[in-house]
Amino acid sequence: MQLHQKAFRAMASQCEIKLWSADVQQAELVLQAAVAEVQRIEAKYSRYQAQSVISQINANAGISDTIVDAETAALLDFAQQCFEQSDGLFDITSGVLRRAWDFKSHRLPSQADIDALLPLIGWHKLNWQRPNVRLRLAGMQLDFGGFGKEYAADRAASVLIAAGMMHALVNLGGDVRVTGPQSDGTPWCIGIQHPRHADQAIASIAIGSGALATSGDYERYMVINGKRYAHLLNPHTGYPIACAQSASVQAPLCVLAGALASCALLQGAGGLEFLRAQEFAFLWVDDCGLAISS
Amino acid sequence: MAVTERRPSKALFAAALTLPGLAATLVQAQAASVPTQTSLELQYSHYQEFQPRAERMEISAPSLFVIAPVGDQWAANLFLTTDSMSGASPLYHDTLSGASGESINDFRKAGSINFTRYFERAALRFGGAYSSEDDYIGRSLNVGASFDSEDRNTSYDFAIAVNRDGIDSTNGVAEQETRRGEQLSVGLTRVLSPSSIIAASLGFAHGSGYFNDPYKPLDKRPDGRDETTLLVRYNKYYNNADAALRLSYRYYQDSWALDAHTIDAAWEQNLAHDFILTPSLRYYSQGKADFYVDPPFGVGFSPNRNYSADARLSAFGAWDLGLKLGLPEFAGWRAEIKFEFYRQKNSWALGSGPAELAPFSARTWQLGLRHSF
Repeated sequence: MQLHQKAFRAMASQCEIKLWSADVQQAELVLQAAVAEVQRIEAKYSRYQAQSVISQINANAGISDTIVDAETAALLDFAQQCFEQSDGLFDITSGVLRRAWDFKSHRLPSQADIDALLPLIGWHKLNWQRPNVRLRLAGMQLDFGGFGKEYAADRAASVLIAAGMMHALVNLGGDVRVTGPQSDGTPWCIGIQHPRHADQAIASIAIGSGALATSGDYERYMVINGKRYAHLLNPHTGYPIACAQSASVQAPLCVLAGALASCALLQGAGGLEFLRAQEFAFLWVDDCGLAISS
Repeated sequence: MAVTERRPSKALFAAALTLPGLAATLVQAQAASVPTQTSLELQYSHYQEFQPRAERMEISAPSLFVIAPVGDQWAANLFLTTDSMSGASPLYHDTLSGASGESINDFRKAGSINFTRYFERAALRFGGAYSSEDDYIGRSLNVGASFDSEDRNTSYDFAIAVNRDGIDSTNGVAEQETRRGEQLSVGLTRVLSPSSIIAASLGFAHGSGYFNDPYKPLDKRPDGRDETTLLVRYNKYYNNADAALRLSYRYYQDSWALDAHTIDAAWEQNLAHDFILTPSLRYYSQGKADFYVDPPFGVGFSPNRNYSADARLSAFGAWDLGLKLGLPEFAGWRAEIKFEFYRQKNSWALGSGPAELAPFSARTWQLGLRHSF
């Protein structure tokens, strides 16, 4: 048994896959197949690729229905659950706020900019009747960024499992899914990034099965006049949510762990109570940097 | 916001499981998974019986279990054990104390070896077992196969086995007697959710030959026995409690009109520092065989008719309480200590009990050591 690994960039993140296998050639083939699966999902759901399913739906906004395949349909159903279970805070139509919030510009948007976008936000303004989906208003946008990376981690794991790789780890920019423990039975040790020191771990968690996903306020943000504006935007107000620094959740599936971590952060101060009410292990780093675990 | 009252994770989990291919990544019920490590298990158990006004029997049994991968697609497992018995065989009836309180010293050795070949979604296995003691030799061969469904959420198992045994009692009652048997079983395991699993199996066995107990006076039993066994198991893991519940029910019925129910429950609790504590409870109840007769012999005993006063064929019920402690890994080894207390009474049988025989208790200590490399 040997550890084989592959590092690559996908979905704007640093990614890696590690697996234990006795067969060098087979390990290489399986690694390639798993990376290809991540790339497939990226191409299919990227906002930046004109041919992607998301770009087609967005291009048809206010004009016509788009017929989607079963995979996209399942992701739309999942998005609907995210919306309902977060009391409307996790909304895949809120990405349009990106037009007003440019975190690289270090400039706050005007209220008028935000007011102009708010009418374009709302899961309820989407017609979703399998297999037809339509954004009712021109200018609306769908964005699977809230769970695309986590879904890709689970899918890459399914490729590994189908190939019999039961001792493998997929890490897509900190969203981690494993297919089982390492070959000697010991769990994988996963560091959780410190929200304020990108090169440090604030904690490390051992996982032998399932997934670990983290959502943080540090992915995109700007500081203006000492106030931090993070990319987690309230779809009702259009403004960043005053939230904790990061939430990490351990769950059987990465897409579940990621959705719970995002829901928790979007709850603002209530996020900690939200996590405590779920049945999964978590690490919560509050707005002062205090780490609280389950 | 009343979010703390709800469990969004349940709805999200259900939705996540409908995403293509993801449910299959959680499956635990795989027939086809080659062990990647050699694991070795040593166990020592000590069993002691208690009964009022009787000598007690003790059994000490060390055993060794090894499972090892052989190449990429094969695994072998080997099991060896010896029992040494001392004391007296249990006294089932006060009235027959002279007959069955005979002192015994016996030594049994037994072993089995099995090979499994793994395929992508299937496994084939075959093996044999041998056991020998002063008055009994057991030999058996088995073949089995298991298959996973395409989504790996269901697995099916089929097995057949044959045995050829020889009996030569030390008291000369049974000389070069034989017993043979054929067994068939089918099983189904289904993953219900990422944290729960159910398994059911049905087994049939046909035996023929010498079934009498040569050490019991006037013991005469049919020369064939057909047995049917149904077993249902359910395991559920509770994330909140970090514990697993294991339930099982077994129904047994044979052509001697004996039937039995066994209900088993265990709670496997993970504790801090990697300790695991497992309390367990079992209830067993059986009805009597149709030729069982409560001693003393009634009027009308006929030497040609089947007849047995063996308390193991009487109607009785039993409770078994167990507690197992798993210790954290140390230098690659894991240890387990188990204590079980067993008590049996005729009046505990389901339905109406017969005449009260002497209640019977036993306790078992078990120490296990496991090493993987």
